[in-house]
Amino acid sequence: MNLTETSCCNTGACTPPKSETLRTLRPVVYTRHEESGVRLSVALPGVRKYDLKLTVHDGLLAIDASRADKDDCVRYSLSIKLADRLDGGRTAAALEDGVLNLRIPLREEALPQQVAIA
Amino acid sequence: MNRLIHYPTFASRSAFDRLFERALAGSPLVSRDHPPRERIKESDSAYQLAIDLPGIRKNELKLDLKERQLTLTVTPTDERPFVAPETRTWTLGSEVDASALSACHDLGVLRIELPKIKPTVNEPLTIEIQ
Repeated sequence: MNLTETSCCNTGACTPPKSETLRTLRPVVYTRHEESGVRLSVALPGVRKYDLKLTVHDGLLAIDASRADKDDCVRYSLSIKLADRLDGGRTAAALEDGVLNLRIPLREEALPQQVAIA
Repeated sequence: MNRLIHYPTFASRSAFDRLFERALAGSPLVSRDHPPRERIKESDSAYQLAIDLPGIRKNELKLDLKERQLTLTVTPTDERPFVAPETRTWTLGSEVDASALSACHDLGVLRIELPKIKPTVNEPLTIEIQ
């Protein structure tokens, strides 16, 4: 499994109060490898579902989120390069108790195949 | 207006003190995952303590208050990312009204409201001369 983490920081999405400064943080990520794909758990405390943007484009999974408590202006940003054998287009996502759980399946051709013995 | 302040109401004021306070309270000095962020804000009427606890469910949290010691206990019901048993203790300052604490848990953040004791109002008083 070849998950490569790339860039993160790009400020500007949220307008902080004048007394606070916007901070962009890279969220903590747990990765678990399974036979059928990969499971990622991303810590995003204080983030509501509609403040979270999740995109998959050209094999790059991007997470961009801002916290609901606006007086503590924190933004989470993360980009992950997916391995070729993963099918990012079939990613399943759920946000629960401040954790984004992602399941990225293997492409059909990358799944283990049973070879018949003649 | 709210402003960000650092541990105004608690006995241990430096990071070094807090490190020992946590060690004595039985929690790990270095978290297995990542140390949840704590923030304290002050308004005219209260302090608000916010603690990031991603992945932890409401039924795994317990808050106890005993002799002005506020203790948060995390007891995970199963093994999953970001979740580990933990105990934290804070000592409430004298200006906090310990009888009126409230807490809510949402989006993996625990918020504790610590109201300030209302100052007694010095109303004008005329003393009768006998």
